[in-house]
Amino acid sequence: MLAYIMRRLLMLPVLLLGVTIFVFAIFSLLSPEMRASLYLQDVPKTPEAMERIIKKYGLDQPIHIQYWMWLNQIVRGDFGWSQTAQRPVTEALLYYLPATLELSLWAMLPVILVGIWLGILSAVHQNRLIDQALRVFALIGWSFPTFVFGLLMLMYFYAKLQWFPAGQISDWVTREVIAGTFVRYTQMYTLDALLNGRLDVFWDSLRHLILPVITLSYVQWALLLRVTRSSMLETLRQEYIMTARAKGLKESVVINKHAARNAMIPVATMGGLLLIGLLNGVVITETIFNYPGIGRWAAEAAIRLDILGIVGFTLFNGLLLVVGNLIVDVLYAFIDPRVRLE
Amino acid sequence: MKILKRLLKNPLSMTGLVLVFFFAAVAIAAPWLAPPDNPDEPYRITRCGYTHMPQPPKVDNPLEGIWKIITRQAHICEVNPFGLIQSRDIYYGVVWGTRTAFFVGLVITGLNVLIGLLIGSIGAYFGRWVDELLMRITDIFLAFPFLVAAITLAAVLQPTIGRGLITAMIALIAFGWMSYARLIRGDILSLKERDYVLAARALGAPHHRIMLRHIIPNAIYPTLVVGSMDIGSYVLSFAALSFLGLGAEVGYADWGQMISFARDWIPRLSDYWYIVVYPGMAILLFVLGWNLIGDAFRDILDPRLRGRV
Amino acid sequence: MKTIWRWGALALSLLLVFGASAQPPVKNPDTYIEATIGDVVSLDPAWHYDTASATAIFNIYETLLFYDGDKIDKFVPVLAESWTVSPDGSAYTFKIRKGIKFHEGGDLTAEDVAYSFQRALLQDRSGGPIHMLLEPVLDVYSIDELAKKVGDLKACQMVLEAATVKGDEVTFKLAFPFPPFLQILAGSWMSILDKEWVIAKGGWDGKCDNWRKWWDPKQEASELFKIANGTGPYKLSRWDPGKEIIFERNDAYWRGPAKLKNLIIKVVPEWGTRLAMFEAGDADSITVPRPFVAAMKPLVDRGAARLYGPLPGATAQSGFINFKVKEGSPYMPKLGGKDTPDLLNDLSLRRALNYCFDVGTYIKESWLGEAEQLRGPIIKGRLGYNPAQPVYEFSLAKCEEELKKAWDGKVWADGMRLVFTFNVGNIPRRFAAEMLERHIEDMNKKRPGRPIFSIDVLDLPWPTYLKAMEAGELAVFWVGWLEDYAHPHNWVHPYMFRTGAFAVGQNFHTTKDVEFKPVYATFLEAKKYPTLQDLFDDLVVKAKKEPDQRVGGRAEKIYFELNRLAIEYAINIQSIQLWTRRYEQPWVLGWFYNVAYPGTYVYWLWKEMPKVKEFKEPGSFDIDVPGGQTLWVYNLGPGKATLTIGAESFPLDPQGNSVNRFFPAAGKAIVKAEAATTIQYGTK
Repeated sequence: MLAYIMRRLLMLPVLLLGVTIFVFAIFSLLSPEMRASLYLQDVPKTPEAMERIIKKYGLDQPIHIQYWMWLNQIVRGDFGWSQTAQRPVTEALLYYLPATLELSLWAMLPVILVGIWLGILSAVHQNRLIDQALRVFALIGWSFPTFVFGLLMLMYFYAKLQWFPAGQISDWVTREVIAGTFVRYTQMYTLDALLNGRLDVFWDSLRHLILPVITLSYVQWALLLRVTRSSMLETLRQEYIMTARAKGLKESVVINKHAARNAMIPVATMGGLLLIGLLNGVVITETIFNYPGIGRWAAEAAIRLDILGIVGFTLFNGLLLVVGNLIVDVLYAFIDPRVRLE
Repeated sequence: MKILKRLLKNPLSMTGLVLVFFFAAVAIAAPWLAPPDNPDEPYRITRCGYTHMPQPPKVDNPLEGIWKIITRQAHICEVNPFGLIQSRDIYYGVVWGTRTAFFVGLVITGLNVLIGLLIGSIGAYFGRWVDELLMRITDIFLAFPFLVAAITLAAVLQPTIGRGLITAMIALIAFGWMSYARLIRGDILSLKERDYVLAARALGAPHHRIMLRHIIPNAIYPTLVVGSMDIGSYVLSFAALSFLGLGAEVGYADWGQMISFARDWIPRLSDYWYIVVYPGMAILLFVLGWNLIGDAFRDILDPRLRGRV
Repeated sequence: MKTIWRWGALALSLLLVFGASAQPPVKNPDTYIEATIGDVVSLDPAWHYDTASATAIFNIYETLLFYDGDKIDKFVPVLAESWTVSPDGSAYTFKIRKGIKFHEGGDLTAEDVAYSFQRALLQDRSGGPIHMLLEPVLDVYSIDELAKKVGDLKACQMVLEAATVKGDEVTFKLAFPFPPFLQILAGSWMSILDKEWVIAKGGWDGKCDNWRKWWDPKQEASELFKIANGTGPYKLSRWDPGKEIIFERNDAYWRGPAKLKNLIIKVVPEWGTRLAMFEAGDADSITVPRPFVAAMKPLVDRGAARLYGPLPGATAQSGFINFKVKEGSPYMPKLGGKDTPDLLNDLSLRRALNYCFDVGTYIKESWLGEAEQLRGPIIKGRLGYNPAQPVYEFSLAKCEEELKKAWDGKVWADGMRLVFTFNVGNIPRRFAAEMLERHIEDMNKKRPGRPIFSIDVLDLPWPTYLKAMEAGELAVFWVGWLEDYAHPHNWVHPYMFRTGAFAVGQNFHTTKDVEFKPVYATFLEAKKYPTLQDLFDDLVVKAKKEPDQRVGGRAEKIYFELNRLAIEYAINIQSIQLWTRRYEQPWVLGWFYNVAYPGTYVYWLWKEMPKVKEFKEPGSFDIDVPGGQTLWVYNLGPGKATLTIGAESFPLDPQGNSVNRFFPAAGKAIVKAEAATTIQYGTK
């Protein structure tokens, strides 16, 4: 097992190097003038402006030299400046990540709980109307463009009912943060609120999270329903369930106590992958709800050709993916003794 | 055949099949349903005017308008059965967009499966360092977050090869083939040890023959099925690129683009419902159709449930 | 049970009574919140060159002088007490106001003013605003250009000599008389900094030894990128890039503290989200792109939003014609199937493009009527705008006629192919190109045989577009210009001057032998110029150096000539000036429109529900204003009204500009309605 983990971790630098080379290779398709547009939001008003910008940012250097210079920077721990985040790349990651992590962790709750519940319900009523209705309901979420659903939620619950606002936090909390009466330990507002012992801030933060969380969950329910359902169906056919039924146990006990528990094994291992999926899938949700998270930044960096921002984000993502997958694999081996890591 | 029968028996997959066949019919009949002004450029949505304000349908009953268009009693601009968005006829866009949706979904999936097949089978068959190299390359591609990577590639390709369907499709293909490669590789690895392959090898059949005759036809099947289930998702990813301004060129019959124009009017849905509802329903039902079929497929193919359902 | 019912009914009726009679509550009464599209790019006044940064900066910092009310050619002294201009117009002396403190405690001195000016000139960020100052002061467009000519040290010394301090006076010396200089000094890039503080933060040390160390910094390398220390009504509290910028009131402000305690400007790129914030009352004002005017209409109609406008803006949009496309360009024009770079170096063809452009329909449909056809590069409201200048009216007959004349009939006989370009995502520009495409291609029907006029409409991603425009690769392209300062020079320069932003890509210098006969500026001699570019350059320079900048004066006549030449030589395809709107919550009072402001100047604003006076018929009423208070009056419409304060009279157009006047002593204002209308007003 240890050897396996070591081998996987040793592959990590190779992988990350490959990722960065790939990004720089893509950018070699662009001419220096095209890349200069990142620093020019308007028509240059003096004739030499473009030329000077190209020189200033070294955009006329061959791409392999730019890559080499970047590598040298990295070795010194400097990931460069993200023009779209208007901060150093490392700072941008540290700034945006907690927000997205908070959103994703909260989204895990309804995704998993409701998803599993839907899956069990649908398995128990296999091929009956409930099963079909639930599956269609979940599949609609999976088939809907996220931005349409998100905007509908926003218009109804924010503009009309004014229950759940957009953004990350109310202005009065921001003012308290500036004034120093509210300390941000983890940069995650809900957690910080508990650490500060402030239920009002907790509630305010939660109110901002509800709509994006629902939007994110609705997309994912189909996946969870599917996995739970088939795993549940399999378990329900196992002999020990038959035995339990034959013993005359109540159906609800059979399902909740015996079947559901065993059906959860494959679902539990999905948790890690789900979190990675959520972290990746927040681009559009964050845009719509004006939530200052990593997805929105990554999308903007990509559109505006902010190469250092993109490299920083993909590096982080690669790291997350490898370590995340590794943890999932190891967990799986722990839970299910039939799996052997080699 | 057995599978088809089972698909037809299940009301969900039945609905899915009906939806997909309906859209296929619309795609085939597009030139009759919405005759283009310029037959050389049928995918350019008919323009009626020069305002970017949404315009409501000119007929009360959309079906009546469509009937008039089909029977050539009226020009499309005289009826606008679904209204106008950015001065372009929504009905025309929805009808011809069906072809784009099939094209986008099928071509992306097809090419992804093909690339996956190539890389997966080469890796699995030759093994050793070839396999190792190809799988590490696959890992590198997998390390990219799908949507962000596709956005980056599309944003870079746009200034170099121009905006269009192709640009966005390349972006989605470049980062979409990896799961198929892994799937195929896994299947081939297990097939390699099957009796009939071992037998063929013992009989001295050449490598390529074993590969083409015995392994690939058996290994490709599950991948094709998985691929077909992804068609809907690719149409959605394409729409997401359109949402960010990286999809097809403006005015091209593409649902994603129409719905992304419509997104700014969602706040006033009661007044401008028609620009959201028609393309929105088209995209939803199309993707739902594929997903319903896919869902049923998964049930049928799930090895744990096989033979017991 | 009965009692509960009774109490319930009482509570309910109380609720109804209060609910009906109470004014809609003012949300966040001491905070002004704006939701916009663009994020601040830099808080360094010399570095920034975008409206979002300018809005933040002009609420924090102050300039020597500022626009008087809604006027753009009258100034009030701010950090200067007064100023004088030397008789030849090439030296400006400012007497600096005493007793003003920066937010961090420093005292404002004449040294600070000279330092701010010199620092800006030496920093000269590429693509930044400082070329505007360098042009009149040192007659160059970049400090690097000067340094390459005279050496680094000499260049810096010249900068130091351009601003000299004597006691509490600062004198700026110009290379030539340049009347728009005051407008440029009023811009946010000339905000006055605290010298000691900037140096302490690592800024330029005021010496010439190694000024290059601070020259042309990257965004993050400027020491003032994220910090600010001005003299203005608001202090920077915190800037969260990509999210919001927060200010708090400067309680020690020298003109008296602002009425609103907090100011927050949020970046909300998604339109639907901004609208939702406005509807929920969480934003006091939002940016509304023109197509979504319709989405705001229900709110305006039921009084849930106040609308100003449409008001004339400082933006124009034109099609630009390139006289000679660069060899090898992918957008090469063709004459009869052959590459012809100078296809558009033909007056008739350029005129045909103008006649074929249905500018009336274009404005009506694509701009919802909120734009105006221009009569040359200079926008309405600026010196040199000539309402009598004839323009091209839409006429397919004339278009055909000119097309037949083009290239001595070769275009009509052999056909042509042109590529119309604009930047991706710009819908109005797309419509302009597609509209012209249709009318030109319709000309095919006027002649027998197969179609020979072919137009391609192509949207280019911004990076490609910018590069191709600079390189002169585009044949016909649509772009817009946002005025930097309110003077015609800022229009004729980009449109006509050799190094102007657009003229650079139009190659006017490829023309030959141009005859110039003055029509308006008869004091100029008639003469021949080698190329059109030489003629334009000569007139642009003459106009900007002309001391007589009065209405009816010599400068105006030269600008008339420039407008006339631009139209007669058809260097553009129909320029239009765009109008603008502002939407705010009904509880925001005090705002008024000045076209030269980059954004909202919050010092003028306060929040409360306005007092309302309804006129069923023509009439008038008096408003008593206590001393030391501000009066604000707005006309909701539908009738017209006027406001009279003492001897001054202001028009109050329905949903037009409002009036904001400070009363040092108690006084009276009279509102006179010419027809039935509703007046909103407030004092504070």
